[in-house]
Amino acid sequence: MLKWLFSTVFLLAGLSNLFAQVVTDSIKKTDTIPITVLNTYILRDYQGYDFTAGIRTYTLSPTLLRDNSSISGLSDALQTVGGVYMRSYGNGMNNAVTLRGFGPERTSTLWNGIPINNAGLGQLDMNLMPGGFFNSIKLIEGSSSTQYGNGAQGGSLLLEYHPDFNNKFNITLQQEFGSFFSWNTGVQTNYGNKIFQGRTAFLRNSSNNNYAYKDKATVGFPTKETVNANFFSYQIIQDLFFSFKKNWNLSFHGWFNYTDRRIPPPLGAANNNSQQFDQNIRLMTQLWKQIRFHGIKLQVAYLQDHLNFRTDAFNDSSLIHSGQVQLQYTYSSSKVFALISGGNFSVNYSEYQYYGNPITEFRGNVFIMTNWRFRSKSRITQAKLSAGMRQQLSTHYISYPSAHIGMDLTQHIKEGHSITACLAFNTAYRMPTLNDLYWVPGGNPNLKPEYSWNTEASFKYKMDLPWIDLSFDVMGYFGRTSNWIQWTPTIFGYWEPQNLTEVQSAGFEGGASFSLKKKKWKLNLQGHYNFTHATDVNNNFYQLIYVPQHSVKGTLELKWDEIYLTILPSFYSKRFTLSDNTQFIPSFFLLNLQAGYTLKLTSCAIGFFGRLNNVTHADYQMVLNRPMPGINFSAGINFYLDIQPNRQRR
Amino acid sequence: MKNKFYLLILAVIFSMAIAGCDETNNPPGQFTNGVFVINEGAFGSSNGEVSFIKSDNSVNNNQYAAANGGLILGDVLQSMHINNGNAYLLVNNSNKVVVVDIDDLKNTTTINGFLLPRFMVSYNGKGYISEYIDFVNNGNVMIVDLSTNAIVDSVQVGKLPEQMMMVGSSLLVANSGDTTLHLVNTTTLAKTNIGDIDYPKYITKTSDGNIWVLYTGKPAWSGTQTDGGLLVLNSTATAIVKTINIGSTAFNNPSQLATDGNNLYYEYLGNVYKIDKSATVAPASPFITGPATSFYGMNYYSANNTLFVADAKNFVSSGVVKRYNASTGALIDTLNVGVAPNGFVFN
Repeated sequence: MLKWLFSTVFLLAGLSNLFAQVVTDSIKKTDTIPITVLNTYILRDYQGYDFTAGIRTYTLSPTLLRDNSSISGLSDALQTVGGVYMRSYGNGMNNAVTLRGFGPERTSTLWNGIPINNAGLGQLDMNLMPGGFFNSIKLIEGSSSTQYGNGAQGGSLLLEYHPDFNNKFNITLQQEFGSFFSWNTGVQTNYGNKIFQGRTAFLRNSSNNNYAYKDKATVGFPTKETVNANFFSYQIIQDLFFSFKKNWNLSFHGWFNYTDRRIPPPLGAANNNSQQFDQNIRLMTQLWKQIRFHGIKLQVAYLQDHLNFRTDAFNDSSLIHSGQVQLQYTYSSSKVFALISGGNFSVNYSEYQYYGNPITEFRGNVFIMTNWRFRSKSRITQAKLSAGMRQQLSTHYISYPSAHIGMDLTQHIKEGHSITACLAFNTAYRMPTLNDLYWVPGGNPNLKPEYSWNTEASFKYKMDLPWIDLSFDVMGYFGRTSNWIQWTPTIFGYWEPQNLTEVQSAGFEGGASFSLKKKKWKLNLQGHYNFTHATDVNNNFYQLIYVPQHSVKGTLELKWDEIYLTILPSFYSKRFTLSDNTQFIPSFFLLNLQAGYTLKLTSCAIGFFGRLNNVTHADYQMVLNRPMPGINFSAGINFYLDIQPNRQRR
Repeated sequence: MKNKFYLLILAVIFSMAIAGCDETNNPPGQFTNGVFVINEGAFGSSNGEVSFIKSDNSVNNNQYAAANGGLILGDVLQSMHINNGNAYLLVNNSNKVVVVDIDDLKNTTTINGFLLPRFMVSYNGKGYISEYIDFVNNGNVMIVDLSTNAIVDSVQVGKLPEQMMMVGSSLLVANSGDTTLHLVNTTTLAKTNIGDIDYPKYITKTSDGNIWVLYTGKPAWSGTQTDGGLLVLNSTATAIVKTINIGSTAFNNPSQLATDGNNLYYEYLGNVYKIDKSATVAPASPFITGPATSFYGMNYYSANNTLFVADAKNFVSSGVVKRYNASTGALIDTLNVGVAPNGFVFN
């Protein structure tokens, strides 16, 4: 009876850690993305190959997701990555990624290879991306339009889920409770056999979100409770994978999001009961076949983005339908050479009131990328070279082609010691969004696409011994973007986007990591410094707004058997809020702690975890006059059941 | 070696502390013989502020925060009204009126209970504050007892009420969202519509006592765009003296209104036009061409015969004030102020 009760309690509990049972390094700056074969089903798309030689790539590991994002948004996990700054409008509110000074509309997000940035706004809210529901998340830092298409000037975020065809049945449940009466519930189950695999996931988040803040708009700066900030969200993901004979593969994917958020006013402003609804429907099917060295993949996707924003005096609703067809051909003759070529065709349709008439816009691009690998006979020296090109077209434009050429050169000094030098040059582009083109009044059909070029070089020393790992890396980049689109007021009393200026993005990154393993002990230390000088060339080289020049991030993870403690300090320098750099938000230091314990049983595991955020109770803002919460906690429990009687456990 | 290490640590901490410090604000000035600049701030950023241009032409920005220990004024500072030693700061998207001492700008009280307050006039111990309420329904004039700073009454007027003027003991209200120009009896609160013009918004008075109302005309987004112009009323607002058509073009209607007593200045197509009070038709050519990237406010300063033009630029950088010789239209100087300057109050 007790056993039954015990099981039931944990079955009612929930997820995050369990998406992350395999604890690995928290952040990996991959030198390469190996052609990893998860199983016979491996999705042989181009992300599987290293077409990004020379470009810095981060893999968000399960540990990182466990420690930061739990089952809610990706924003916290991304925040810990070196060059990332998240522009958050408050706890649980819109959270936009900024990379190398480029904002969210200049960062491309792909879901299983399909770009999903909102066609109207050109961006995505990272708080609506459920990090725990993807088992492969990569962040490509820097220009990567050749690989990932439109808007990848700051970088690209790749969200993927790969099935395991050895799986029979497993289920993960997690329940988390935290400050401000926050509840996160997650369920994910994987089921199937060697021919079919299904994945069903459900996530529910809610919070009163009434955190305390210092009201600097009231005499005496009294502490008040945030009003009109509660939110509710649920997401459902369904994947069906089929692996047929003769290397035919078919999959169906569905992702539904419904989020209802009240938007608190900024400090000193009246509460006008702002409310935002986001509803996204994403459907996709993939069909591909592999014949020896040749692979062909067809993807067809439908995306529907519904955004409703309302206040006491305003109600605005936009609905955009997007259809995409993507065809790719891959060739990989050996471990030496790989090629991918293909095209993406999309159509956007909207009847949004601010576009006047219904609009239909067609876009397309074609690309080719190649990858070579060289290795000396002694295997002391290894080199990877990638080069490629992409050409974008649309109803309005033919953009400049984007191109990439990059190289990684690794020299093994002696057993366990290596140095790697990377060099890349690439160009990128961003097409105007539907809002830029069609907004009435102001939409400007004469806009040109933005065009960027970027060059970067990095150097890494790595020591990889049986019980100790050590690495140092430095990286510098420099690039420019012309035809930068900015909305600006006109003499006619409305705003209009124009190709106003040129932006220069230059920076330096340095990092070190150290890990030590001894018996059941594991220590992992990481530190990262980032200098970003993203400036407006036509405006006295002033720093772009909301781009910190300096940031320092660290991770200290201590693990004994199945008990872990993670300490995550971070520091951001001041961020200008006016383009002439006369107003800024002060710098801040943030300290987060996580701890947990996983009890592993024969075919199941139970995890207990807790998080303490903003331990020093820092009074800080990511966006001007949008206070963030002080010290707060969350704690939870998860349950993982794995029924794999015939499976060799890894 | 150890000492050097500690010194290095101290230097790092010290530099980080400096990096975290706020900008040093100018000390509060003496707010006489100068010009207050109303910096609206960027909508949703709560960075509305007050600048002060002294008689020596120096500018002190962020004067409210400086006088009040870093206190945030609020979101969208719409206007300022001075009465009896107090300045009333109408903060539109904060739904409040902040009362400060005009000598030092220290906050003395905050009056809440408004819905999108716009402008204020005072008469006989009472303050009359126009408020939109929303963008669909008729607005109000809220009546405040200035001795207690309590809202004591209100009267419903037209849609989007803006500038007002006392005409004897009556209140003239320009309703910028419809065709009404209300004259409100401040004793009975009875109102009379004395105009039938499209979207009256700005009011001023010339030396002959006539009242000039600039009506913008219906904007293009309303569906049927109409011309804007000037309506001239007699000094008691009981008769229309004349109407001068200004015009309209796609997405552009006239705005702003200032006077030196004998001439009127208004904005159209981004230019400043100057018209004599005796004129009956609008001038064909501008007095000042394209003075601003984003023309956002204008007023005439009699102390040195200067026309002040507020340029909000792109709303995410400091705005500027351009000062012109009101006789010749020559640019005198350009001053950096706060975010999105929209008006001037002379003290």
